[in-house]
Formats: sequence, structure tokens, C-alpha cells
Amino acid sequence: MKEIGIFERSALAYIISCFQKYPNMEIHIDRSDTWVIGVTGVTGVGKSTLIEKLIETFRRKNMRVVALLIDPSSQKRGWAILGDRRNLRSNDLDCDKGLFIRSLATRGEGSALTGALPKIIAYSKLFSDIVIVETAGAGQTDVEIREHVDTLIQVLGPLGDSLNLEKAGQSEEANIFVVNGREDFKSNKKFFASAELTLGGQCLDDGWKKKVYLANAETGSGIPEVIDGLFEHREFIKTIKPRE
Amino acid sequence: MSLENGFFGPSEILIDYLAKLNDPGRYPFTRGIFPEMFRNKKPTVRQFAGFGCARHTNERFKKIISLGGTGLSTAFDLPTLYGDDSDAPLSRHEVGWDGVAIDTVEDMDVLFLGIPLDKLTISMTINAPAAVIMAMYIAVAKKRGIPLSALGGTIQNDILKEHIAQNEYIYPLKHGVKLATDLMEFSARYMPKWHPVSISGYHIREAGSSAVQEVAYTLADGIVYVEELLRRGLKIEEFAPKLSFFFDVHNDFFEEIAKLRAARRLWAEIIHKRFRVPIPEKYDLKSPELQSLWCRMHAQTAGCTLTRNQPMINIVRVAYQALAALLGGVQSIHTNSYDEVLCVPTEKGVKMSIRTQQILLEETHITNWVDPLAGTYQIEYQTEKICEEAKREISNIESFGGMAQAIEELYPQKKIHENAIAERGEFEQWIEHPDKYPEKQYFFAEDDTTDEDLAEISEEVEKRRKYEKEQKENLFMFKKHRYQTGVNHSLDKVRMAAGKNENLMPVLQEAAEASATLGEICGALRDVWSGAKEIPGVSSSVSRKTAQGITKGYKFPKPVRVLLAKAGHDGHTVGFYILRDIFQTMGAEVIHLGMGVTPEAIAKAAVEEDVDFVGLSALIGYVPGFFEDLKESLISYGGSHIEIIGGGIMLPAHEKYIKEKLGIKNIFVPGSSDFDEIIQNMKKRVGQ
Repeated sequence: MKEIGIFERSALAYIISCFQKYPNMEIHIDRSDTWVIGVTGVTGVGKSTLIEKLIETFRRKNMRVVALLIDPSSQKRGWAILGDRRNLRSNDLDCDKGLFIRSLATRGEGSALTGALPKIIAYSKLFSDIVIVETAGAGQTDVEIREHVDTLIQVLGPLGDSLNLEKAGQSEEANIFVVNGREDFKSNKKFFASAELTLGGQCLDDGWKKKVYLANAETGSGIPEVIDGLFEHREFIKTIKPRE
Repeated sequence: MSLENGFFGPSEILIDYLAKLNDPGRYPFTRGIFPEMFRNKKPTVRQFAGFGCARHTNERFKKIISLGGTGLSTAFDLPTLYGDDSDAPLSRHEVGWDGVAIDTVEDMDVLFLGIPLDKLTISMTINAPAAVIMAMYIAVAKKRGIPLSALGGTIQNDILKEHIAQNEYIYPLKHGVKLATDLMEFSARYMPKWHPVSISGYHIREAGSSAVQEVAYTLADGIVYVEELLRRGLKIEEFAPKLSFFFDVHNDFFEEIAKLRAARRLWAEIIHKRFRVPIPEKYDLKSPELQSLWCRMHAQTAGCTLTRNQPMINIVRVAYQALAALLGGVQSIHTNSYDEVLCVPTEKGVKMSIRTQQILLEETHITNWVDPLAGTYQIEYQTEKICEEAKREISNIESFGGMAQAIEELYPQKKIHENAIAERGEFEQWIEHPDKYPEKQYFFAEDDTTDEDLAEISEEVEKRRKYEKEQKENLFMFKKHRYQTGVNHSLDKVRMAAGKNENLMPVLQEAAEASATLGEICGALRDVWSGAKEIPGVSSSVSRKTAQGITKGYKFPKPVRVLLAKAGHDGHTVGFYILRDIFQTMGAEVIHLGMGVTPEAIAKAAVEEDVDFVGLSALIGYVPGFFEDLKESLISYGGSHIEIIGGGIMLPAHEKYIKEKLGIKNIFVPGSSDFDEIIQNMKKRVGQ
């Protein structure tokens, strides 16, 4: 199995800190065609659970994964509690040497992170086959994230009717939509149908037709289809002109 | 004459004797469930024991029997309580530590080797994997040719209180309740002498609830089980006689007595009014209808009231609490050992606690009288008050749709937490203002622990460390010699059954007989049901002000990152959250890794997160072992520059060992060690 080695691991950890601490730091980073996936959606919708399932799948395909978790948790008097990493814990992933997870605090709006994130992503690409970026679906970081990822997933919770879809902000930009049909949501199928109707097949500027999936991140049902969709999008972007 | 004056007279308390009290043995049983109570049968001295491998506990059991014991009570180690095998990575340093390690049906056989299961009553304190443990027990009985109907005893099997207070759960709530109810249903149908649940307020109280909350939440849990069993088509008289209860006996002497009386009355009222069991005309003690109305109770003295700094005075606390239990009319009592706050009840400690009960039962002649405090204005006032308040709290729970829904909404957890904070606040006042509370200062005095005492305990600790190796070897040999295809097949059957709506007991028993281990069977269920998720939202009982007091206003001069985690299975979160609050007060970015993490996983996360400090909390098991492992793992992941901060309850000898031998200087033991030293060390590292 491919691994992120001990020196690579410490180097990546250290450089990420530097990018955050010293906003003006520039180092040369080689270009890499590592695939970057963004996952967005409002708090509590099941992003972490979905990411855990994605990581498990990619690891089974022997792809090294770097996961960057951007946590918007409260920012009073400097402190922050970053709890997302806890959601990605499992016996298989805990000590997996092919996986690197980093929690990032936003450190306030207009933060250092906004500037540092592109560099952090670019650097992470050097050590992995896939970079997954989790964002909270709100704030400036989120708007900008689109430019730095290849494939953007939006996780939707079937809490309301199709009207809420339009309020969901990022619907414009995402390539893949996952309706996370947890058991406690009653109207899964109905919501999925209206999401499919509203979003499915819409074209983005580059010609990609938006895809909508119904999945249950908790039990894993529907996840293989989401994975297929992701790879399909990856093939798609290879066909259009390479990104800057 | 009122509450303020501290006494009551006849005008405040109008006792409707027949409705509220009645004679002992008569509805609503406020004065006791039996007409003659202790005159006929003294409460059982049920001390709970278990350590090491099955054979060690078996020896201890035989000793208890040879001393004239008629009942046994089994304590399991943490990995077993969480349904993990002894060779699981998370089980390190915990195997056989504070209970016996049971992985296989063979262990279960050895545990009760030479013990007549059809003659003695056996109690087992286990919850989340209770059904699997019971399946193993049944398999052993079957092998010995003992019919199910002859087995007598109790298994705790109360999963709701784990979600409310103790955190030892391994599946989502609804599956946990389903599994527990499977065992209750099975027992009601085939094991007439077995108590398949001990509905527990003990852990709720220990987590910081009030006496009223303890009664209310426990009985509300009971209602859930009754309803589940009725839904399965059982009649109430078929199972209710075997429901039993377990309460804490805390320091407030009269309140505790009143609480036990109130709980008995309330439960009888619930069974009669809500579940429509008639009040018997003839009180035939053998009648299931009569027994359905009984709130049989076991009581244990309150572990949370014991102090570490002066262990010996715990003997006196335990004695008063045991007295309250006796006056409250319980069926059996466990008295705590004075030294169990130091993690290792020694033989000396256990003997002392048994003697405490024996003095009470044999010398004081209290047992000659039935409910002697009945009719006193004050006790009856308090009993009535607790009854009324608990009723109100139960109806609050009902407004969620029952306890299961209330737990999902975190209602009882939050209420308990609020109460814990309030009580803790009072306690903090004593520490902060010694001049205002001179009379409370004895509480914080410290015994000079002699080297001799420490040596004794350390010796015990060394003995316990050897159990892990032996048990892992047992397990390895067991797995090597079993028929693997049969194991896989039986586990597949468990998975299949878990997906359907059938009683799991038969397939669990089959799996146990096919030599599947506890961890494998629980794992198979987890494959289908998924594991339990940690519930966020409940934090420490330390106030912001106190945290600031501990840190003396120090703030990190630059962004500092800290990773906090709890090693091992243990679900006690207090020390962990105190550390979190302290770092938060100092302005750190805290990465919260949660509970049940192996030292290796902590080290990997600490390196990836590029933290300055890693805080590790460990309470139960061989505590220095966790720190040793973390240190080694940090080195192997290239993170030896990360400073370790330890929090937890540990023996002074361990603290010394960690500081001197492992070179980890920052060890914080809440309540006993000074945080100043750690702050000084941090200042050295990150600046003023």
C-alpha cells in the first residue's frame, strides 16, 4: 500500500502551519495533477460522514488522501474548538499511514486562511493522490473554494421542499449533489425527486451536466454511485482544457 | 414550623396513611415490599468482585463462597463492558484491570468452574453487550446440563442509563434498546428465576443528578422497558415481577431515606395506574400480580462522595450511607471500599466494607424493626416532596414522547449537567474562600500517605499488569484451536438476524457455542447497526471563572494548537473537559479528538495537526502505560518535539513514575495537583 512517509508527513504538517502563520510566505510549489475534491453543505447535514465513506473507498483503491477540514467554530478571544476530525475516526482510518488529516480554523472572517488555503491545497497535492477539502457552506472561504477544487460536492439534507434548494447558496457551482437521506429525515425520496428535477441535468459553463444522488452516508447505501459520479467528473475534466 | 425552621409539626403533614403509606408489604409499599422486611430476611451483602483472567476471579468467588456467601456479583473489565476482545488495540492497559476479562465461552466456563449455577444467584454488571454475555452464560449452563429455568441471578442490562449518564454504549440508542429488550423477553419466557434488568439510578446520580432526577429518570427508563415488552405481546405479570432497581445512596441522610421510600411508592403507582395491575385483595407473596407492583432495590454507597486525599475517612462516609440504605428498606447493599478512589480496592478495603455492613446488620438491631422512621413529620414530608417532584419530572420526559426520545434531545443529560454544575459551584466556593468556609476545610486536608501504603498498592498494580499478557495468550490459543468456518458461519447468521426484527438471543447463543468471541459477535452486530457516535454538547462542570482561576489569567501570546484525546475505553469525561476548558481560557485552538483513541492514533493526529501540546486523559487501567505508548508513538511519527500534558486520576506512585521515568513533567490531577507548574512549563515553551 502506498504511504505518506514519516518525513513527508512532518514536512506537510509544518509547511501548512507556516502558510497560516506567515501570510506573505511564498515557496515554489511544483504543479501536480492530483485531484482536488471539495465537499460543502450546511452544518449537521452529514459532510463528515460522507467524507469518511469517500476516504474509505479511495483508500481501498490504494490512493493516498489528504483531508483538509475547515472548521468555522466560534472565534471568541482567539480560541477555537475543532471537532471535525473526531467525526472521521474509525478503527481502519485511525492509524492509516496513507491518510493525512488536518483541521484548519478560519481565524475570523477575512482570515489568514483565505489567503493561505490555495497554497495549502497546492502543497498538499504533492503528497497525495486526492485532496479532499471540507468547508462549512458559509463565509468567504467557501465562495473562493470553487476556484481551487476540481470537483465540488454539495451535500443536501432533505429538510424542506425544493424552494430551499435555491437558498442553499452553492447550488450554482457544484458538480455533484448528494442528498443525504438519513433515517431521521422523513421525506427523502420526495426531496430527492424535486432536487433531481431542479438541479439534475443543468449545465455548468464548461458543459458538465450536474448530477444528483440519493445516498445514506451513515449506512453507506448509494455511496458507490456517488463514487462513480466522481470518477466520471474526473474523466470529464481531463477532456476539457487543463486548469490554470 | 416549616422548612426554614428545620422542623415540621402535625399541621403541615397530613398523612393519609392508607393511600400514601399503608403497612409494610401493602400497596403502595412506601414502607417496604415485604410485610416483615428484615425481620424475615436481612439484606444481602452483595459485594461485587472481579479482576484478572477468569481463573483469578473464579478463585475469589470460591473464597467468598467458603466464607458463607450465597450470592456472587461479577465485575467485568472495560474492554468486556464495551464488547471488545482483550487483543483489540484499544484494550491495551485495561485487560483484567478493574474487572474480569471475558472474551469467549471458555472464559465464562472457567469463571464459574466448580460453582453450582443452579444453587447460587449470580449477578453480572454489564450493559451494552449484556445479551452476548448472557448468551455465553446460557451456553455454559447448557453444557453442564442445567436447565434455563434453574438459573437465578441478575444482569444489569440497562442501556438507557448508559446513554443518560455512563457512556458505556456501543450502538445507536434504538438498537441498544432492542438488544436489551431481546434479553428481557427471552428471560421472561424461559428463565423464570432470572432478573434480566437492573434499572439503575446509580450512574445517573454519580454523574451529578439530584435525588429527584435520579428517581424520575430511573423510573422513566423502567417505563420504556415495560412498554417495549408489552409491545412484544408479553403480559405485564409475566415480566414485571423480575424487574429490579439499583439506587445510589448519597450523603444527604434523610433525603436518601425518603428517596428510596418515594421510589417504591411511585413505581407501584405507575404499575397500578398506568399499566393497570390491580391492587391485590389477598396479599399472596407468590402472586405475580403482587410482585409486579414491587420496586425491588439494590443500593450502593456513593462512589462520588469518596475523597482521595484522606482515604481512611471514607470508611465513616460509607457507614452512614449504608445506614441510610438500610433505613430506606433496600433488598441488598454494596458498600464501597475506602480505597477504591485510588482505583484498586484492595483485600483490606473489601474486608472493611463487608464488616461495615455486618456491624449494621448484626450489632445495631436496626433489622428488628420495619421502616422505623415512618410517621416522622420530616421523613414523610420529604418522601411526599420527592414523589411529587419526580412525578413532575417524569411527565416532562413524557412530553418528549418518552425517555428514548428525551435522550435523543439530550434533555436528561443537560438537566443532570446543570445540576452537576450547581453542586460543583458550591464546592468551588469552599476552595476559593477558605476564610468564609473554615468548617469545610477539613475536606481538603491531606493524609500523609506512608511509603508502606503506597508500596502495598504499587505491588497490587504490578500484579494486575500481568493479567493482560495471560489473557491475550488464552485468547490466541482459543482462536487457534477453533473451527474457523463454523465461526464465520455463525457470525453471518448474527448479521442476518440483526437486519430482521427477530429476537437475537438464539443466534447469539449459537455464535457463542460456535466459539465466536465477544468482540466478533458485537462487531457483527455493529456491521449491521453501525457503531455509537459520541454525542457533542455536554461539557465539563468547571465554570469559566474557575478555569481562569486555575490558569491565573495566563494567555498564550501567539496562536497555540493543542490536541486533546482520551485514551482507552473509559467514558469518564470530566478530566478531559477540564483540560479543554483550561486551554480554551488560555486562547488555544483545541483539536478535539474525542474518546476511545489509541496512543498511536493520538500521536499520528498530533503530528499532522502540528500541535504544540498534546493532552492525554486516562483514568482507568495502567495509566503510565498510556503515556509510555504515546511517547513512543510520537517518536515513531517524528513528533518528539510535541509536549505531552497528562490529565487524569492516578496513583501518586504513577504520577511520580510518569514524571521521573518518562520525563513527562506536565501531569494534572484534578483536585489534587497544582496547575501552576504546568503553566510555568508552558511559558518556557511559548513565551510570557
